[in-house]
Formats: sequence, structure tokens, C-alpha cells
Amino acid sequence: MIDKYIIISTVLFLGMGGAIFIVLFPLLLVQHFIYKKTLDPTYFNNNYFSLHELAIYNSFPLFLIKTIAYIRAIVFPKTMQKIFESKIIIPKENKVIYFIAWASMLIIIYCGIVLINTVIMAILFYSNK
Amino acid sequence: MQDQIKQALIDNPSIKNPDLIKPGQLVALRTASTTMCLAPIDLSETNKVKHLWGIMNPETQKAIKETSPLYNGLSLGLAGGGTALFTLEKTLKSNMSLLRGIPDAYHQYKSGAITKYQFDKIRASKLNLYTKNIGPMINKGIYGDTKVKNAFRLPPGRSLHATKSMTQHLSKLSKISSAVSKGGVVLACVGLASSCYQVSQAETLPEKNEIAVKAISSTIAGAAIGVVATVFLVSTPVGWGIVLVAGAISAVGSWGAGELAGSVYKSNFSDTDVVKSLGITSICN
Repeated sequence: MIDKYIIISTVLFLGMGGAIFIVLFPLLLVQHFIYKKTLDPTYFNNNYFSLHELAIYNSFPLFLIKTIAYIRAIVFPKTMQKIFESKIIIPKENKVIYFIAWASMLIIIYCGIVLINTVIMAILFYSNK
Repeated sequence: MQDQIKQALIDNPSIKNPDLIKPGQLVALRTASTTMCLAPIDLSETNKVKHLWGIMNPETQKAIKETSPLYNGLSLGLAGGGTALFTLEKTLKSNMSLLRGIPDAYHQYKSGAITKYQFDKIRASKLNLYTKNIGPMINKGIYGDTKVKNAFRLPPGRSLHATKSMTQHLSKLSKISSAVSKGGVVLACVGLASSCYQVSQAETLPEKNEIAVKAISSTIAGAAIGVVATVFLVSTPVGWGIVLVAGAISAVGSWGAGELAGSVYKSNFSDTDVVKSLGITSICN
């Protein structure tokens, strides 16, 4: 039973690696260029970001943090009210952006779940050794 | 003749059967004038290292074997250091918004929107919170013996450029933060290169596979922890205590994932040739 669980957990972990490096990072890069055209003109200014953030979010890899901030604001707008105050896009008018943001967030949630599962697997693996 | 064969077997630990020497295999032989044969011109770097290893005396080999865990620890430490630097950068960045408010408050005071007393209160409360958030260690590292308040003190005379020192200070912090972040990426790459070097230097295939599995797993775990932590921390300025905990969790998490993957690989998947199937051997050679 434990062997099957370890095999499933290993597959999930490798899947997480694939999801991050093959799907998530390219998605983040695509979204970076989308948001650069659609959201940056409105939100990437001193009203929403500090001067420091405006300076450093222009270069790799730090612009990915800005992209993740936008994704969280699109998917869970209430959790980003401190920064953006209101919804930054209207889902019905920007279906593609909304869908991609949700896909990215689901991968990140998947990563969180797999990380928790990996901790459980480690406990079981070392306790059965 | 038998003595020479025995000596050749001692000098060449890779030869198990003296009657079976493969074409192209390098053999160290002792001659009257020198202790080694002349290496062929097209000898690869890996074979040169293997050859040198073969002719080393046992004490030297033992000393190298004893210090090899240091290299392993170094590469894992570098990977952890990368994630720790990333969280340090996050602390500086997220707390910058507190400092940003001081020049803004000064302009409000100059335009008459707030009084001098109100400006002083705003400045003091923001600086106190900032100092508390970034913590004593980072504070000492950036500001040395001078206090953060000195960087945000109004100059005598209060000229038109009264906020110049503040913006200069913000610019300095921005550069530090950016350098720290770039350092994290560099450390992560150096960690991977170090693991690659270990794969190329490992003698046996199982060793190569185990090192590769550990390196890949700790990289995956480090990236996952980084992405998940960013989602959590992106909206809130975090204090130094949280950063220390997050940095420690990231470093230990990626290292632990590597160790766990190595153990799981050995017990459940040792038949799988990871380095060959992923082409790591050719990359790391």
C-alpha cells in the first residue's frame, strides 16, 4: 500500500516539475507580455506600486512577481484589495486573460497541494523505513 | 610477469578481469623511467580524471573521498541560499512601500495639506515599522552603525531638494534588492552546475543517477516553493521573522526534497537510468 502511495506521490511530484517548467513558466511569460500591453498602462504606476517596485519589476526574473500579483488580483480580487482596490479586469470582457490566469493559479494551487503531499509522503516513507 | 599483472590491477581499479581489456580502454602501466604511460592525444577530460584517479596513492584517494560530501553540501547549500536570497529580496521590496510614503508626506506638508507635527508623526511611525519589519540583521547590514532615520532626516534649510537624500536612499535600496535577486538566480545556476560536475565525476552509474535525482528534485521543489511563497507574500509587507522562517523553510524544503527523492529512488526506482534517459551524461560531460 505504502509503495503504491510513494509511486503516486512520485508521479505527482514529477508532474509538478513538468507543470512548472513546461507549462507555468511559459504561461507566466506569455501573461507578462499580455499584461504589459493591457494592464501596465493603467496599473504599473506609482499609485499601485512603490517606486522601488516600478524600478525592479522591469527585469527578469522579478517581473514574474508582478505577473503573479496580477494573476492573484484577477483570480482572487478581494485578496489584493490592499493594492488594487477594485477588480483589474472584467472577466466577461477578457475571457482569454481570465482563463489563462485561472489556469496558472490552478497550477500554483496544484504545486501547493503536491508540496503538502510530499511532506506527508516523507513522514510515511521515513517512518516505515 | 604475474607481479606486473598484479601491479597493473592495483594501478587500474577499473579492470576487474586482466584477460578482458576493451578497445580504447586506458591502462596505467609502470615502466622503468616513469610511473605512467603517455596519455593519447585525444583523451577526453573525463578519462584524464579517471586515469589520474587510478594512479593516485590510496591515502590521497581516501582524503578526496572524505571531502566529497563537502561538495554535495555546497551545491545543496547554494540552492538553499538562492531561495533564501529571494525571500530577503522580497522583504526589502515589500517594505519599500512604507518608506515611499515619507517623501509623499513631505510634499503634503509643503503644500499645506498636513502640519509639521503630523509629518513628523507619519515619518516616525513609518520608520519605526520599517526598522521593525526588516529586522536588526538586515538593518545592520544595510545601514551599518548609522540609523535608518538618518537617511530620512530633513536637511537643514529645507531646500527644494529636501527629499533628494530620501530618493537617493530609495534608489540605493532598489539596487541592493535587485542585486540580491540576481544573486539568487546565479546561486541556483551555480548549484545546478555543481551537481552536473558531481554527476560527471561520479564513478558508478547508480551514484550518477542518485546525484541527478537529488539535484532535479531539489530544483523542482525550490521552484514550487518559490512560486507558492510569491503568491502568498505578494500582497503583504512581511517582517524579518517571517522571512527568516520562509527562507529556512525554502532552503530546508528544497534540500529535504532532494534527500527524500534520493532515498525513494534507491528503494523503489533504482532500475531506472535517469541520467541516460534524460541525456544528462552528455550534457554534464
